[in-house]
Amino acid sequence: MNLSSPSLEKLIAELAKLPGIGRKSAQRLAFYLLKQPQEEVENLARALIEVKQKTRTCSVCFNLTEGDPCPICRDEQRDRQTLCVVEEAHDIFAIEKLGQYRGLYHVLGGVLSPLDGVDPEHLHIRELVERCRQNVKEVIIATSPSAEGDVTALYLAKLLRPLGVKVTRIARGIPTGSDLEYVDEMTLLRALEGRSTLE
Amino acid sequence: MILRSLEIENFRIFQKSEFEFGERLNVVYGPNGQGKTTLLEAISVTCLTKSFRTRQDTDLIRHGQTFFRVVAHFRDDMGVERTVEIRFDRSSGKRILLDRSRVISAAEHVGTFPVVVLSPDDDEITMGPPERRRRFINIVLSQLDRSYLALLQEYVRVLKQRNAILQEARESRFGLSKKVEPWNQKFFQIGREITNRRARFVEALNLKAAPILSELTTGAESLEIRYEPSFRPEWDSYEKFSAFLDENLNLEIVRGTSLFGPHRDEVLFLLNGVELRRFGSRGQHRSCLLALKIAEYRMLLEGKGESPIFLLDDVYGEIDEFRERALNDYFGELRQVFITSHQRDIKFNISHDLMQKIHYIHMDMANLASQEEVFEP
Repeated sequence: MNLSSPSLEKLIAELAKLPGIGRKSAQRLAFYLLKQPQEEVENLARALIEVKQKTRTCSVCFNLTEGDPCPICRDEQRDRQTLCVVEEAHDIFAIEKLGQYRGLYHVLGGVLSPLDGVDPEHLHIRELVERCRQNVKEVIIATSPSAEGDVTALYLAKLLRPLGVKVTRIARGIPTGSDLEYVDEMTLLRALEGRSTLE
Repeated sequence: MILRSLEIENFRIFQKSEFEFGERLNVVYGPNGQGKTTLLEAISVTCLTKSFRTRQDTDLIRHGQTFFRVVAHFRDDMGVERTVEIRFDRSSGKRILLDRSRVISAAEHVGTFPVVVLSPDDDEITMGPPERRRRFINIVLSQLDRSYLALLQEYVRVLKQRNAILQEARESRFGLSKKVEPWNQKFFQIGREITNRRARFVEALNLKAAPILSELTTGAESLEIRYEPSFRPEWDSYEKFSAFLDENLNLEIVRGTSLFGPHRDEVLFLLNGVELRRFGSRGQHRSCLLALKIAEYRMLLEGKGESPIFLLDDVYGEIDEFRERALNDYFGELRQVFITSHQRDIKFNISHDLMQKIHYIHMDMANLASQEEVFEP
């Protein structure tokens, strides 16, 4: 394309690199931004630079944070004997939104996947073991219910059990409010296997 | 289940075409290379999301195009109209849309519209390598058992991951046993589940197919289908399997691949006690295949409570008189059948009643071209 404005062309090219943004969406966003007041655009630009400059990973749990350790790790009100292991920092957002979980977290940074060259040493597993040596009673593994997520959970369980830690895995099952009839068979099968006794 | 009509777009030689079908016997006729088999292939894609002729979905896209699309209008045995649209795009992959509203996965879809295919390639089921028999079982079992396909997909995923570890171990064995252990555990869990289901299935298939073969040969031959799983029966716990794997780990590393598991299963067809694959005559292979396909039809009908569509591709081309008569005997119980043929008049004896109900579909390029004009003004 031969645009009269090379800077606009550059912006479109940069936006098009973002996930889920194609060339057309990038153009629409660029033209939208151009129409905004100077101040709005500067706010956005500053926000982008600031987030990159200030955000880092927590040295304890590998959550995204501005201060180190992160606010969750610093919170004395939380149950320090329970760790919830998640794949990525955004999984913490999902669980925190519940407002129910009061323990701490540990971000692995992915799941085991030899096909993609991801071995145990590429995840924050060594750090997890270190944490578990320090008065941790339960580790809840909340990796996704995929083959890789399951295997990562099995691997961690084997590693952590000898340390005297109770290792649990989040249940998989039927979404609330859904009709059994419309639940896919694999979910139903796993839900049946993971059934619990009614007290 | 009745297939009432089919829309095809950018599918092999078809640009854009629409077909209407009869409720009983559909004869698709015309010279070679005019898309007779392709039409049956498109029907199988709507039922199985896969072609019976190729595993590569990209092979199905018309030359120079980026996607194909097939839309099938069915009426189930309860009289309910159902629609399924399968669209495959080179870049975004496959999308299955049920009843114009719900996007579903292949594992959810397969089995909703049961189908039995009998094509020249199927000779391989009794004659070819074990892989072909596993594929036959997978296709029927996926339709019968709702969670089987999802299980199989998960198995393939774990198998690939495990093989990646074994291949890496050829370079360096550092930390190997720790790495492979959790994959072994998952591999065993899913593999065991698949093995159990295959065992139950082969048993049921045997019960259905043996009497049919006996009928076909007027009692002269007896068939036994025997499942030979790679997972040994004595591996009833992970510990036993794990101990066995430990002993054979070296072998697996040298080969760089998993040597034990359902991907190595075999199914034996024994005719009068001897292995059909090694000792069977051409005629025996054919009657056995026919018995299998009729058994498949009956199992799907009973298991799904829905009559499958029966696709016969070019089977009459070389079939002998005996089996022609035999196949005719079973025609009565089939609901809707599609046959490809060179000539309009198919040379087999079906009842007068059925003859009246034949729906003819003439395939030639001129016909296709005229249809294209309708859609592409």
